Amino acid sequence: MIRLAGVTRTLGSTPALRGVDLRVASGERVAVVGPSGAGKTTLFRVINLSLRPDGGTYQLDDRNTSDLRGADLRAARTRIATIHQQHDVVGRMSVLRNVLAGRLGVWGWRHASRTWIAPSQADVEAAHSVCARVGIADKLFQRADRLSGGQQQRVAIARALFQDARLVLADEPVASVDPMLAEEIVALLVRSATEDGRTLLVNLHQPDLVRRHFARVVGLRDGCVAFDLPTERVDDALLAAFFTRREADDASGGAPQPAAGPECRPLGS
Amino acid sequence: MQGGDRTTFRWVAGALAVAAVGAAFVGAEFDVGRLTGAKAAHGGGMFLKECWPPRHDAEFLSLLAGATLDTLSVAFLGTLLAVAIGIPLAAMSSRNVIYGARFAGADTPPAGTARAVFVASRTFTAAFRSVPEVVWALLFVKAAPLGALPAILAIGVAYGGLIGKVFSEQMEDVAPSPVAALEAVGAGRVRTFAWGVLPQAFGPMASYAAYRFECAVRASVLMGFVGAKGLGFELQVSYGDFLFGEVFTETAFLIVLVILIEWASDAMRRRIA
Repeated sequence: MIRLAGVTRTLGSTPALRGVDLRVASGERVAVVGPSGAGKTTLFRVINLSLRPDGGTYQLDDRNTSDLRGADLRAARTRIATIHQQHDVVGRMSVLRNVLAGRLGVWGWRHASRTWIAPSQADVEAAHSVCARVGIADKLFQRADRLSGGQQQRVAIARALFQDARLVLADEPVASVDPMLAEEIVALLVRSATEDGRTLLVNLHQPDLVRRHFARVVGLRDGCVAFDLPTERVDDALLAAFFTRREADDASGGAPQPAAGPECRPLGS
Repeated sequence: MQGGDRTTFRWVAGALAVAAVGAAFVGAEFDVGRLTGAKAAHGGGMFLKECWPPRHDAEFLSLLAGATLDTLSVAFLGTLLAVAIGIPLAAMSSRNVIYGARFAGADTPPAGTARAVFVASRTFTAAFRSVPEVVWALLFVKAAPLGALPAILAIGVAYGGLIGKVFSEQMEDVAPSPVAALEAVGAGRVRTFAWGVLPQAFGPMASYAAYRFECAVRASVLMGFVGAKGLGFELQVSYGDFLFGEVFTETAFLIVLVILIEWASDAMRRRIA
């Protein structure tokens, strides 16, 4: 489904990705881990077609994405749903309208216009049923900014489910919620992806969540894939090393410097 | 800049500012003596004496009520037109609408057409608002000397430029991540605008439009002097005939009208916020 080969991307003057190779098959569920500044968010933004790689190739469903423009690009984006850390629902709109917005890229202009004015009964019911799946059915007509952080995160998940994309990316979906809720939300993501046979990539900071819910872990460091292993072959020490903040850098007060050269070395295994 | 340099700079800038204010008084031929002298006191006294008693018979009051309605409808239609002109201008003048939510870290340089639309729209917006509404009215009176129409068009165009400018700032101020999220689901420019930018900017936009309506009431009074019906026209007629008792009542109507609008728009703002 996803195939990245030697993908590089510089943000400003910082090399955020320095040659990432990654393949994810359809229906797989993968956890992406790594310290802050490892390039996880950049990787997700490349995969969801918000950022173009500077170098390397990114194939989505066996199609090269580098020449996608305009309508083709938007059509490709409709097949990828993204859930961010927070603050990406429109606070002034109702939960219903936020969820409906998930299919804005799919609808024709007629459908989109009539939904903007007043959504059809069928769409309202469909939105209601995804909200029921994530446990916010009773909030359908409330303004999104009246909800708690965890509930807003559920709105974002409901929007992704309503979008009905085969590939779902969740970039630190539980970074700003308490542990109980984090477990719930990750379980919800994994369960809905499994039920519908979606491909799921989640960027996580909690080793226990990774262990419980994912069979494959990709470790990212300094813009490179440092390991890509089945979860049972990742020992606790390795996993822990990827979750701790880089104290050495924090102590020196400087920005994280790439440890290796400009290119990623090939993986040992 | 060194500390000493900055102090010098402040002194020079301050002196220049004082000089500019002085020059402006001279340029405007402002003379305090003319406001306080015996002649001024006499003239002012005469004027106030003429104002009393204000005319308040039923016939005149009903005439003014009708004129108030005329003024209100000119102001309302003018503001409506201004909003209709201003929203598309503002959308096309907003970088996050034209270039995309993440224009700050723009991935691809702005496309040629998008840039052309942006520049053209900003130019039109500036042109519309650089000419005051009364001057627009004088132009439209020549083109279509029909009752209220020139006044409505004048307010619509002049305020369309003002509203376009302010709305576009309000649109550019919205939170970028919800807008980027809509782009990521494959929504195009128009939908991203309608679902992401517009809802977020709606509150401040409505508030500013209400303020512009209040301004339009005052502007439409001024339009009376170039022939549009309404309170301004009555004011001009009374003034021309030295009927200061009528002028007093008309001015009172105007003040009450603006205060009422202030109340109404404040109530609306609180409902929307």
